[in-house]
Amino acid sequence: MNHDDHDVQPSDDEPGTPLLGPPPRPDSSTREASIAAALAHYDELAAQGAWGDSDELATRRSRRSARLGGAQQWLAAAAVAAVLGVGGLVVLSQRPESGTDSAARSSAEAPGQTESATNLDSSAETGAAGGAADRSEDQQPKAAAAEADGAPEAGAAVGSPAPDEAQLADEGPPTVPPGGPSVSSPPWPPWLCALFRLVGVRSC
Amino acid sequence: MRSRTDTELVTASQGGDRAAMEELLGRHHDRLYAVCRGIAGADDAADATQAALMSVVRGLPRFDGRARFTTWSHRIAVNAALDELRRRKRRPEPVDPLGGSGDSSRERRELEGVPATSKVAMGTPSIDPAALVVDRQVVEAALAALREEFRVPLVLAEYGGLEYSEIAETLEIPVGTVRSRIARARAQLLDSGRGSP
Repeated sequence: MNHDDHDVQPSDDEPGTPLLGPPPRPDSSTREASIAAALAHYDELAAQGAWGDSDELATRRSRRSARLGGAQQWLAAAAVAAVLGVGGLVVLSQRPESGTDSAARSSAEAPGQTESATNLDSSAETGAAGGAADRSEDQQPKAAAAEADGAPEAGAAVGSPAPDEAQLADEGPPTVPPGGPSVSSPPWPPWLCALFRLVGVRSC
Repeated sequence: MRSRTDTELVTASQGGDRAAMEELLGRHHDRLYAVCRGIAGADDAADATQAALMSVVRGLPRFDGRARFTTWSHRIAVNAALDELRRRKRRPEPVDPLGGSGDSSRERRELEGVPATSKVAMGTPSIDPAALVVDRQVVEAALAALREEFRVPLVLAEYGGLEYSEIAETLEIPVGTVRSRIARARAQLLDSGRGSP
């Protein structure tokens, strides 16, 4: 049997229990020479600028964990913002209706009220130029109603010429143009359109 | 005046305080030397200690205080001593009558030749230790006969004064392994000191 493979049960001896006698001590000359050489090396490193300000080091050490935590928070926030932003842009690019329809939807909450339609016009004017601003007052509730029914025609009114009020009152929902829903003139500000183009979303 | 802690001395040394560095080295030198001597032997202890101190100084800018300075410096000392051992093995050995080879049967034969004084040196309780002189050479020969994995934790415990948990951290092994290896090292030393086959 191998001597080293004895099944020795760990004893309860504390590590400090002397078995080998007192630790060997170096003679003083060896000790001094060793420390002096190490200090000389320390001086060399000092000449190379290895040592910094001790207060700064202590402060830096105490702040290290907090700084790491802050960096992680910033990273997480940036990731969430990026995901939300990209997701939002993708959703916007997939939706046939534009912001005008959202305004129309809001006006549909009070169909027949010209005040809301007037507000819509003013909002369209401030939002963007184009067909949205040309829409008549009565067209908005109808388009919005059609949209509320799930009809894809809701977005078709965007950019279409403004029909006569009386005619619109007799007609049904506006028809879809041959090219399908147009999103060529949403009420996005130019800078937002430029941003969309930059990220590859064709909403403008 | 209150003496500064290791952490305070380390921080001051990192800031360029030479006196702090000197105090830190002086405080730990003897224990590091004892560990190096227990691992590498008397001939190479001074060189190993010197190398360890240089490594401590060189590594101080990167020491971040996550480990205790004692643990960190002992790890450096162990590595320096083992490096010296390997360097010695590459050198031609002129005469080494008790040099350990790692072969257990040879180690056992060597330890059987240990004179009676070594039994006292190894703590045989039936003899008054104070009445006898510890034969350092015999103890070191017995240590050298131990395998490295047993010798290092025993030396860290006996000469470095480290607790089991500190040895485990220094050697990066479980505490249970430290306990087992130290127990086995003690048993082998006692067996050899008693002249058991």
